Amino acid sequence: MPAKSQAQEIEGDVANGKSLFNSQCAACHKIDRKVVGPALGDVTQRRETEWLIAWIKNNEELRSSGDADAIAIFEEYNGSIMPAFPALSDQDVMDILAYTIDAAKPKEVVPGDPDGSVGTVEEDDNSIFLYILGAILLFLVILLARVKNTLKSVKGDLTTTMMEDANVFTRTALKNPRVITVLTIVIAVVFFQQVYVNLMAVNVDTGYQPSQPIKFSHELHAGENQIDCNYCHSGARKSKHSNIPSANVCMNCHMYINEGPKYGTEEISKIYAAVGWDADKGQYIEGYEQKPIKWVRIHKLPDLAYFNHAQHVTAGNVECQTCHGPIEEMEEVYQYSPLTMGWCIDCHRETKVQVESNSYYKEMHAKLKEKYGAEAEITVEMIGGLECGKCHY
Amino acid sequence: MIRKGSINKLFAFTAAAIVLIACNKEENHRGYQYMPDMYDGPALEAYSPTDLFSDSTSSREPVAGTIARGFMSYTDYGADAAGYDSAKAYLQMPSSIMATEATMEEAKELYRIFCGHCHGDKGDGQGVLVKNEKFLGVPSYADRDINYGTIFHVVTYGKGVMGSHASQVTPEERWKLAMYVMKLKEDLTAPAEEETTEETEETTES
Repeated sequence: MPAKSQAQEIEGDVANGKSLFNSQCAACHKIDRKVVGPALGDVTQRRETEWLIAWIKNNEELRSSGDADAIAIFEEYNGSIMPAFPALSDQDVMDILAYTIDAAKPKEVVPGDPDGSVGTVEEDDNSIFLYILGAILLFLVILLARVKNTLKSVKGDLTTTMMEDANVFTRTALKNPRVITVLTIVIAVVFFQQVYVNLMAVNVDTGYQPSQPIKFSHELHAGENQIDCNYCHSGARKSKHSNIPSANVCMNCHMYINEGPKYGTEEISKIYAAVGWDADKGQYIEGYEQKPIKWVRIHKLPDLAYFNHAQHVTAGNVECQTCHGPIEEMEEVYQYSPLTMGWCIDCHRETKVQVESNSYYKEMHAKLKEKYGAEAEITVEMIGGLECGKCHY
Repeated sequence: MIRKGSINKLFAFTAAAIVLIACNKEENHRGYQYMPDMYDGPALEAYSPTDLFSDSTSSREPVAGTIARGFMSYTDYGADAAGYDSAKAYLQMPSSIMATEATMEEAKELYRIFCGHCHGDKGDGQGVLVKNEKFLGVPSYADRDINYGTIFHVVTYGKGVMGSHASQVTPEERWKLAMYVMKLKEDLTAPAEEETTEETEETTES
């Protein structure tokens, strides 16, 4: 049995090692954490270099030669097979090993680390300006009041406080019928306008942005990483609902990625807590009682209206963004469209059915041509998109 | 004649109105409805919580032993390495799946949705997630010894750090994907004349 020597001399090109590691090894190994195979940060301290070269190039051969260490590690990982890499030269393996040593060293903290300080400052600028203006005005009012009082006392009159002045002013003003008329009209207009706006806003939830149990960012997933909407919301193509992905879909990627760019491990570990994933061991905890993630629903049509995602996404070829807005730019999702009946109807009146590329409407298209003439553009309205029974029944 | 008291009343009224309007701004409050009874039906909507079950979810698993219409068992091939090997050796694509133009078109779209962000639109292992260094070590199909059987097996069960995609793509879609992946592999291993012509990256709108 080979002795496990400490800190062997390994010379290699770290840069080449890094590119080889990322392309050949990283699918199953990480430096600091067990994934499919063991963590490799300290592998050169655990094993002899010759043994490592032999194992990496062809571990099956090493195992069949009866090497006890090789068989032990194979059994420790329940017989999951690491592929042979005959294409790597001895120097390539040394480069990779040199990289594992280099990458395992504690990293220096880079000053000015970007930590998501992207907040917009325009709004703040404006309000600060207003506050300053207000303060100046207030200062002027007080100054003028004092000047007036000083003049009065010089003249020998009685001085009055600002509150008394204000009281006298309002009393005189409110005795004037014109002032009262104008004031009444202004108050009435503002009041009824507010009443109207608020009544019209009942049950219209545009802009509704509830806080979610996990700070999932669509901007990161759908925008920066360009994961298709249908990857997670795989039901939108096929069913009434665009499903909220179950946690196993999150785990497809987050088995491997356990740190986010903004919140680190904090938010991702909430998925692990829900499904019972042990990130250190890289496996599910046996007998774990899984808990649902309680996402807060944003878009909700009333029970009296029927809406079907598949009908719009698959048959109608409508982009998700048409109704949901620029999702790929939303850090936190909000309701973009009003989802009112008028909004539905507007779209059904204007949207042209993509008859050419869509065999779904072939037969109907022929009939519509007869009815409206060959040149007419077919809107959703013409194929019955405004009939009451289509959505209410 | 307006007395001082009425001015105070006016102020109080305005303040109360502002407070009432401000109530709407509460973060997780959806807003008010005219006829809540008509908006929320008595039947449970998908994902809505319920008191009927101890885990409070209304989405239930099918009764144990239930088999969906058209379901094809895949238990002959296990999720382990042995299952992979036997899928490689014996698993055949059903003859009902034909490589017509429409099918390949659909398969391409499925591939773009479910595979492209890691494996790359050309199957070379250079997807957006790899380029962004989120995922590393995604192999090119050209370097892997794969066939229809292994692709179906891996999409169903996952392999290495790739998870199971069985909940996202149906068995039929998996076969279509297998066909498309084999086509990509052929394109990659074919003489490199075509590769230079299509360097323009397809920007996916997600």
